[in-house]
Parts: sequence; structure tokens; C-alpha cells
Amino acid sequence: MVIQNKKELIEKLTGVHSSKKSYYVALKEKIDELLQIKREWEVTFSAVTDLLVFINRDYEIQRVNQSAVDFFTMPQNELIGSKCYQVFYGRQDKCSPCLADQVLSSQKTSYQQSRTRFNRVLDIFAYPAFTEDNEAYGVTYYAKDVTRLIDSIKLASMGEMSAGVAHELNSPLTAIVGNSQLLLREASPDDPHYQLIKDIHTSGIRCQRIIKNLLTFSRQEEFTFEDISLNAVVKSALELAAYQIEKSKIDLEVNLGDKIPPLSGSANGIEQIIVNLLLNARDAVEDKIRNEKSIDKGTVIITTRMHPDGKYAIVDVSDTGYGIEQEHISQIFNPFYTTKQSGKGTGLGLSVSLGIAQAHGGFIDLDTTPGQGSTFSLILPVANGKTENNNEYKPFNGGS
Amino acid sequence: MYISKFVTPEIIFGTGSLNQVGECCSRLGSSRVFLVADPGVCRFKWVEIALAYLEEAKLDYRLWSDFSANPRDYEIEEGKKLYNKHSCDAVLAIGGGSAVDAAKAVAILSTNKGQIHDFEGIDMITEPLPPLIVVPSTAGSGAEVSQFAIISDSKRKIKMTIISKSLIPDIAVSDPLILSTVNSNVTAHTGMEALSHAIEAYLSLAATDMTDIHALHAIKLISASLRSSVASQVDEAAKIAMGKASLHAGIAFSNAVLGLTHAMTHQVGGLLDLPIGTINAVLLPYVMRFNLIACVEKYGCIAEAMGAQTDNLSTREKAEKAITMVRELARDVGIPSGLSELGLSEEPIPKLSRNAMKDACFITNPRDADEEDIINIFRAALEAREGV
Ligand SMILES: Nc1ncnc2c1ncn2[C@@H]1O[C@H](COP(=O)(O)OP(=O)(O)OP(=O)(O)O)[C@@H](O)[C@H]1O
Ligand SMILES: [Mg+2]
Repeated sequence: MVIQNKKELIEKLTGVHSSKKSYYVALKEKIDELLQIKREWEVTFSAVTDLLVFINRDYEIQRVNQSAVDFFTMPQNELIGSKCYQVFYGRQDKCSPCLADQVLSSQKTSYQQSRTRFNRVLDIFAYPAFTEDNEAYGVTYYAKDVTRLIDSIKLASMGEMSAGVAHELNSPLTAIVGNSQLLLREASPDDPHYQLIKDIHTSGIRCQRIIKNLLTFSRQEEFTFEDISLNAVVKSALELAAYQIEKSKIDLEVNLGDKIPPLSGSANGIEQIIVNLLLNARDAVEDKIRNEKSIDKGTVIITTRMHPDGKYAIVDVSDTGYGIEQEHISQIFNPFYTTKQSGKGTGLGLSVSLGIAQAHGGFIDLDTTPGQGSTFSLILPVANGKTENNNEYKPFNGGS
Repeated sequence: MYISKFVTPEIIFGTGSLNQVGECCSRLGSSRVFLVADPGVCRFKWVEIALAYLEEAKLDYRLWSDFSANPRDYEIEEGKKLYNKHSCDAVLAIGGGSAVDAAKAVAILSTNKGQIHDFEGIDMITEPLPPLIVVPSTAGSGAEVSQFAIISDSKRKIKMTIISKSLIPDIAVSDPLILSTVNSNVTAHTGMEALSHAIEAYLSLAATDMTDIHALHAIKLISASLRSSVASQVDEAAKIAMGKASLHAGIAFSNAVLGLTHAMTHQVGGLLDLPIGTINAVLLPYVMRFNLIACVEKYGCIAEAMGAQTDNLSTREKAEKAITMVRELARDVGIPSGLSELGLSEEPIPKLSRNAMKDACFITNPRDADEEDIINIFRAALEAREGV
């Protein structure tokens, strides 16, 4: 045996160059590896433009990505720990049926399309998350916001169809409204047929309003701008709506302000807004009276006034109706949003009204107390305060 | 001078220290302990006591004791399967050298891919082992502190030596109380095993000051207490001394390695299913006789550590004294004086000698030896010839 070789062997044997393999080193490598994976997942997670939400078995949100934070407009730390039904639908208790329950019990992926808070439509895919023992311990929601898609399909087809139908209905309606008007003028109010003709007349007007809204919505109607008197427009709107309000045994109060300068705009368009607001007010009061079986009559008040700064003329339409819940406010101006039963509302009134107001450089303000009533205020710039491009009417939400 | 390295586990020593096992396991991060218990020890209450402490520490466990006195490769394979099946995350061994070796081998396979003979030799382990806690039940093997494990290869009929720093347990819990249930026969051969560890480590080419201190102290403790420990199961002082001696001898040989006695013992052990300590004890004086000229002075120190009166003796006489005192001690505790008494015949000796030269322990033997030399030592030990 060569001496050098023997020394080497001894060194090898006593382990001078070897050490106990450290668990710590291996652990640290594992941790680094896991951290790296975690980082990569987080980057992926937040890069996803769709919503990712992970909940536990108690429906509590455990993890969300940036898109979800943006969507729900809630800080991440508030989202985490909140119940999913509250965050998605603003509900106080679990949905029924509950998508998570379905996934947890079947242990299979599930899908659902639903309208969430903010009136958004989500395609929600729910995936079970399993422990090592194959027990589902939570659900991952992968949600795509398809509102735009759904609504634009709906809006586009509604727009096209309604424009065609509305045009066809317009001339027969003119005959119905015009002729019944003539008959009313000739008939004495004691005539047993008087009430019947009156009903034909107001129903015709109602149809005309619906058609007008539809045409405005689908950009089929043109407005011509002229110098108009706001009070005069309110009066002609009342001619169309007052009867319908009073018929419902609701007090109507009219306060027309003086010193309102003329404004530049479409008399037809502004009248349309005011009729829409008045009829909404009537519906709200009527609904409240009916639901509460109240003997109180309820009141609708229409007021015209100038804003103190002199730049805006304002029409307030107040009612003692049921008011509007905070969470619905953002939706009532959306086209086709209605809480009324079919046949009573198309959901176009406010959307079209806001569009017309904006085309006039104005807007619609809302002050409401749930259970007490609402005041919708149409705010329009007066002639000398108006800006350049106001003469051009652009509906703000025709299907684009 | 070599660059040297000295490694020991954390050592907990003391009467009643068995109560530390639960805390030890959980402190090392375990939640499901693989408890390797010597089938012999299972007859006494020690395993039950240990289990109670594991339960107290709120640990799950899986008990395993299906292995032989000299653990076989296929038994280790079964142990590993059990370990994995129950997703254990630490190994606790209670027992003699065999149980500890089995525990170490299972620990290897639990994190390293391959079969146990893939790790035979020096430093073959690549992945860290799970936490390893060892409670020795005999005073002798030193496995509770050593970097060695010996497993029988059932096909080749030899003992595989696995050497790796990774085999050094994380914690050794040595409770002398446990030694009180060991019978006199086992006390004797395990005690002699400790003595052979201490002497061979002391004479090893890789010995350092650090290992010498432990080796000499072990020799001193064993010479003073082995006889009384063999004589009485209830001699508490003797048990404490032997418990310490096993640790010191283990620390010494784990760092300095051994010599020809062990290289030869491993060969005989592969052939005859006998306690390593007994074979060691028979061979030790014959190998000492052969090695004497390599380190005469160190022999004198051994004699002194064994309590010899050396005042008027020459260096050579002192050295001779060491051999006679080892013989005397072996005889006193009932170790046979020759290999033939153990059942070895003349015929396998050349082969055993050739294999001994391949044994890792041979590397650090203080005197160079060839096959012929080893055959001669074997023959002398076979016939119980006193002078070689
Ligand atoms: N004065 C009000 N008080 C309470 N809720 C109102 C009031 N005005 C509007 N709303 C709510 O806003 C919704 C949308 O109103 P909008 O005028 O756009 O549609 P609509 O009245 O339902 O149908 P239509 O197209 O016939 O006007 C209504 O369904 C109602 O829920
Ligand atoms: Mg309406």
C-alpha cells in the first residue's frame, strides 16, 4: 500500500471532508424552491384578467387576485374573510341553490352564469380544492365578466327590432291619439262614453311614450334644438301625464318658478324626460300605497327653479314613494333595468332620459330616502351658459 | 499532522433520562415517530414507558421490532415500507447495537433512493436523514453516538459496514436505569465490545488528543466497573459507569475509527450468528499482541488506565501488562479464550483473512499487516495460543 494512499484513505474514513448531511440545508433549498413557485403563481394569479376567488367551506374568501379586488372595488384585506354571497350578490345569507355547496358535495367542477352586484353578468366556474386525503376543503371561483357581451347582444338586437316595430306603430297610434282627442273635444263629460274615450286617449299616449323611448334609445329620433321655455315644456309634459297621476288618486303639486331664462334644446326631448320622471314618481307612490295599503294619498311635486349660480335651470320631480335602496342607485340608469312587472315598465325611461339630458350638457341628480320618497332633478344649462357642442345629440347608451 | 474532525450528537445522560424522548422528538420537528424497538427490550417495560412519553408529547408513532439480532437487508426494506406507509418523520431507536443499526438503515432508505447495499462503504449517503434519536439499552455498541451501521447482506453472507457522518444520531439519550434489565451474559459481551472500541480507537492511526481522552476514560471506567456490572443487575453505580463508558468509547471510535480486531470480527460475524462483542473480546488480545510493536508506549497508558501497578516496570513490561489485563477481564466476565469454542473451524480462515483486509476498519490499524499475518492471528485465536 502506497503511503500517500493510506493517508488519503484515513482522511476519507475519519470524514474530514465529509459532514453530516444537513437537514437545514435541504430544508432551505426546499423553502427557496417553494417560495419561487409561490412567487410564480402569484404573478400568474395577478396577471389573470378574470376574477379568481378562493373560499373555504364556510364560504369565506381566503384569497383573491387583483382583478377581483378591482371588480368588487373593495380592498383585499376587506375581501378576505367576507362571505362570498355578500361580496358577489350583496346578500346577507347563503344563496339557494349555492354553487359552492354543489361543488363541495359533488366534488366536481360546476358552472353558473349570474347577475352580481353592480348589475354585472359573470360566468362563474367553480372548482373544488382537495386536501391530501381527497377531502374538498374549499372552492376556487374563476369568473369572467361577460356583462358587456350579454348586454351588447341584448341591446343590439333590442335596438334593431324596436326601431322597426316603433316606426310601424307610430302612424296608427297618431290616428288613435288624434281621433280620440277630437272625440273628447266634442263629447260632454257627462256622456257615458266620455270616460271610455279618455282611456283610449291616455293609453295611446302611454304607447307613444314607450315608442318614443325606444326610438331615442335606438337613435332613430332626431332632435332639433331651439330656444325653449322650460315652464312651457313642463306644462305640455303635464298635459300628457297629469291625468295619469290624478287618476291614481295622487296629489299633484306644480310650482313653476319665474325668472327662468330660455334654454337651447329640444322641447320634445325635454318633455320626454319630464314625462318619464313624472310617471316614475307616480308608479313609486302608487306602489307604496298599494303595498302598505295606506289610506294616505301620496303626493308628486314638480318644481322648476334656477340654480343659485344662475347657470342652470332645474326641474325637480319629488314623490312620496318607496325610495331607492343605495345598492340599486347605480343600476337604475342602465337600459332595461326595471323592477316593475312586465307590461308596466320597459326599463328604458331613465336611461333614455339621462341620455337626452347629457346631450343637452345637463344631467339628472337623485336624492332619495328609502321608504320616504325620491327627488329626481333634471339639471340643464341655460342658454348663455351652454357649451359649444351641445347642439349635437348623442344618445349615451345606444347599442354601440 | 492530519486535519481532523470531531463530531458527536447532543447527549442526554442520567438516571431516568428516558423521560426526555417525547420532548426530543417534538423538538426535532417530528409529529409521527417511527419507533424501532429491540425485540429483546420489548419484553421489559422500557418501550411502554417511552410510548407514554411520546403520547404525553402528543406524538403519533408506529412501532417496529421485526428484525433479527443482526439485522438483515430484507428486514430493513420492510421497515422502510412501514415507515413510508405511515408517513413517519423521525426515527427513535431503543435497543442494543442491532436495533440502532436497523434504525439507521431505515432512516437512510427513507430519504435516499436505492437499496441498503448501495450505501455500503464510506460516505455514500447523499440526502439528509430524518431526525434520529437513539436510546441505547446496552452499554457497549456505542451506536448511539457513532457514524457506523452494520447490516447483514443475506445473499453474500457478509456484514456490510456503512460509514457516514449522516449516521450520527441527532440526540443520544442514555439512561443507566435501562441497563438494570440486561442479563449478565449480555452485560459481559457488550461491555467487552465497548472495551475493544476504546482500545482500538486509542491505537488507531486516526486517533487525536480529542479521541484519546475519551478512549482512555472509557478504558478506565470499564476496567473498574464491568466486573461488578456483570456480577449484579442492581449495582447502580456500575450501571452508571458502564453507561458513560459506552458513550466515551463510542465517541472515540466514531471519530478515530477502529482496527484489525474489528476488521476480523466483522468477517467471523458474517459467518457465525454471534454477538459482535463476544467475537471482539476473543480476538482483541491476539490482535493487541500483533500490534504491540507499533505503539508500545500507548500500551503502557492502556495498562495504567486499567489500573495496573506500573511503577517499577519497563516500557515493554507495561505494554505486556495491558494485554494480560485485557485477558484477565475477559476471563473474569466469562468470555471464551479461543475462537474454536465459538464454533469456528480452520477451513474458512484464509478467506476470512482476505476479506478482513478489505474491511474499512483495517485502514486505521496501527500496524501494517498482510494476509499471512492475519491468518496467523486467526490461527492463534482459534487454538487459544497465548503468544503469537
Ligand atoms: N321615483 C322613483 N322612485 C322609486 N324608484 C324609481 C323611481 N324612478 C325610477 N325608479 C326605479 O328605477 C327603475 C328604472 O326606471 P326607468 O324609468 O328607467 O324604467 P321603468 O320605469 O321601470 O320602465 P319605463 O321604461 O316604462 O320607464 C324603475 O323600475 C324603478 O325601480
Ligand atoms: Mg320609468
